[in-house]
Amino acid sequence: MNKFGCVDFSSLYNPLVGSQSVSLYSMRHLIRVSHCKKILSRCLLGMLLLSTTAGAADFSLSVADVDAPAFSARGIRLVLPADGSADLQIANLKLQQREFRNLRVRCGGFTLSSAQMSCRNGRLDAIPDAKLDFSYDFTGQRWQLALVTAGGESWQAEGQAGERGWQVLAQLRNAQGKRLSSLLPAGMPLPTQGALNGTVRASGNASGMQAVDADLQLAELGFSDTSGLHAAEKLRGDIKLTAKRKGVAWDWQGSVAWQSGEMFWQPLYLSGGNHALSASGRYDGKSFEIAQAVLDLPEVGRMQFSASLQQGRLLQGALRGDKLILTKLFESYARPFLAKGALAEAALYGRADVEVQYRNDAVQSLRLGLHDAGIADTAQRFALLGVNSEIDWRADETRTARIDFAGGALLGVPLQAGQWTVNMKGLDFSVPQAELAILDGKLELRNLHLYQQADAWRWEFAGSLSPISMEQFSEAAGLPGMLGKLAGRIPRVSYDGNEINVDGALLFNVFDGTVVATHLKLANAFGRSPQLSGDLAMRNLDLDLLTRTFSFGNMQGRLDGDVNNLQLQDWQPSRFDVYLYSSAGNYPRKISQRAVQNISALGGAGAAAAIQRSYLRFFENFGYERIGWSCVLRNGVCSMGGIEGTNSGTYTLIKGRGIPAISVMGYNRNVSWRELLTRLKRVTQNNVKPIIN
Amino acid sequence: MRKIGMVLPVAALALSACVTINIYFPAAAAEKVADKIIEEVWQQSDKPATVKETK
Amino acid sequence: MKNLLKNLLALLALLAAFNVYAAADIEVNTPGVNAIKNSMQARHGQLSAYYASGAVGLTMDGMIAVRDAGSVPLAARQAVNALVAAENQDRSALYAEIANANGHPEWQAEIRSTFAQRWVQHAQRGWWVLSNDGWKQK
Repeated sequence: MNKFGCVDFSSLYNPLVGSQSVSLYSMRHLIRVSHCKKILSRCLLGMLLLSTTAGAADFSLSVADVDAPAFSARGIRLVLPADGSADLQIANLKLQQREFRNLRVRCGGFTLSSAQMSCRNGRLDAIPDAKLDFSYDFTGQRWQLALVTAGGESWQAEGQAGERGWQVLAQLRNAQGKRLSSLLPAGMPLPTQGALNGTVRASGNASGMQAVDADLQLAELGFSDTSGLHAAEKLRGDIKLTAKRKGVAWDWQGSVAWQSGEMFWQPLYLSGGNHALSASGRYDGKSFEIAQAVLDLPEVGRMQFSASLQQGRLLQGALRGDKLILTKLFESYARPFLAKGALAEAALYGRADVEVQYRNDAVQSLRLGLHDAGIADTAQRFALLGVNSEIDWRADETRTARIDFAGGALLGVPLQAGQWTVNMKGLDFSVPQAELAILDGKLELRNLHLYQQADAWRWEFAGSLSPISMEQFSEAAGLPGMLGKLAGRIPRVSYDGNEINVDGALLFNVFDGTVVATHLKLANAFGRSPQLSGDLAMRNLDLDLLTRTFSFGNMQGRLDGDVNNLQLQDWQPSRFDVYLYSSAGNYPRKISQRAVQNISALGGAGAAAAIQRSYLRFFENFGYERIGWSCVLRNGVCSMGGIEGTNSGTYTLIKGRGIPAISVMGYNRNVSWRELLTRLKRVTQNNVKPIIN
Repeated sequence: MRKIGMVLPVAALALSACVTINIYFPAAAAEKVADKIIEEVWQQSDKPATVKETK
Repeated sequence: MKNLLKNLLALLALLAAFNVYAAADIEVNTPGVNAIKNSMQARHGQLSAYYASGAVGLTMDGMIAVRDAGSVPLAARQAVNALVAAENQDRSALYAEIANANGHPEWQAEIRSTFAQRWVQHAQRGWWVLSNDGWKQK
């Protein structure tokens, strides 16, 4: 309102100029009523030159500078030709850090009298297709402005300013959003397409704006910032806002009904359709209060919230939603914020009642009612389904929650229904005793403890595995069909934010023998390329069960094995020292012809063929005394050896005994690990058929 | 005297050679390795494309 | 004179030995490098179209960056950001892994700058590269 008000014409008032001087006086009058006096001291005094140009009745006015906060104009020039038109030029106009050069309005008809100033059929150089009309009525102190284009676009505004206050009413019809982009600050997303319809009313008095009331409809509106990270296209919807000043504060209420279009607000992507928000609150210049708000999210549900913000920081807030649909809520509003990880690749199911209280920079309480909820990893590593629970969590109180679940899966192995009792004390969760029924056995967990320390989530547990049928387990886990039972003891397992450590020995009973894992450590556990290291000691494995599992040809006997310095990187072996050898003791020792062939084939294709051609092919089984094989893996090369004590160039893999006896010797000590695996795969695959016979 | 005069610089050279080589970054080898990895990742190759398995 | 000859020969042998060492290959056939390589290879199928359209370009520090998010449909912008972030994570890991696998963690910066040049060298015509004076099309 005050933008014109920074030039004092009075010093130039000259009664001798005659009729023109009347209009100058009127202009001064106009400026005075625009409440300019208050800021006059802040304005640079412009210099106005009045000169008659060549034509007798032509004259032009030049105003050198007009300066005001957030507004300045330089090189203002008004030329009034004799034909009643007018030509207003501004060489340089600055509006909120925006700069416009060489603005020019040509009024087709310009009248200036003691009663009124008006510009009819004006043309703006900047918008050549638009017609501009404006007028000011000095006595009524009313002004009107209309910008209309041939395309049916119109921006109309009218206002009145008097002793008691001022009012403005703006009406937009098909108003192109793009036009606003030159007026808005450069850093924010600017309109790129689409139009606005509706009305904006504002009123105020000498101390500023007192009320505003806007009702706008967006039509295919689009906006974007320069980075493209905050952008929207084809937005359709209604925005309503009313605000009234009460002392220093504003009481406001508004609503947004978003019907269609899409929006990307890094990292959220939302596509329209029935999003609605209505809210009311108060703003006192410092803190922004949302007293109550209702948000409807399609395919999620309705949420109510309140919040109090100061300089963009949340001071306190509360949110409540009943029977929210978790799938969409997680997928659209939570997952984009999660970095790559197990949770980011998970999907949620079911419904939840949520009630959260936030205060003092932290969540103070969370009430979570889960109704047939579930979580499943898209890579099918874990799943927990049919979860029902009423969790009443408090930041500073001890609570207990009972969680029932109908089933789930872990690495493809189904889990049966169960029930856990979780003790909660702030961000410290513990489960003293829990059971997971897995197939025909169960995993018993003790002292499961999840807590936060130094910004990282840590957990630990101990447990035991009661016998699970290996046959069922391997089938469910997609492993080669194994026989026997899987059982074991799990000492303390802990996660410190990076490494999973197993204290003591992890014991499993497999293949009728035992496998003891020690020094087990998984570094970078949930990052990319996890690194597993540890030692394995295998004792008394039943070779019969083992060879049947891996279709290797039959062997009978007992096998011990040591795997030391084992390192897996991204689950691929990068280093180990393996030694497999016959267990001590008395037991039947037999090896089938096929197994002999396969072992030989590991040394290269030729050896197997040699056996085929020899007399050995007439025997089905052979006796042996000892088996031994070692492999030291370094840099992708496996340096092999055989039974201890044969350290010359060749090494003995199988030492024969009995009739018919067979010994297998190795010649190549160094084999690429990858090549060895390929051979092993070929051997076991080729044997699928013979084994069935 | 003449001998010592010859041996000293030689020893110095040997010493310096020792030191430099320990911190030497194998730029050419690194470039070769980079090329190989980039070709694999971007699946560019001068060789004809591998025939895809058809069912 | 004989001694001198011996010394020279010994020195030659020494230098030759070091030369062999210096020309040694850099080992990249480790499970770690292979895992990263496979992950990058799989991602390239999705990224290549964005390189071609100019939405994503190469930077001179061996990374990639979003150049023009505006050219990507709104619905796919988050995916592009995620792809770029994941690719950069992999690239950092790759440089570190090669340096570590060769027992010279301090080579990481040089490996990165070697790769930076080679990525640009191998980039297809029309792809964008961010140099000191802004984005340039190759």
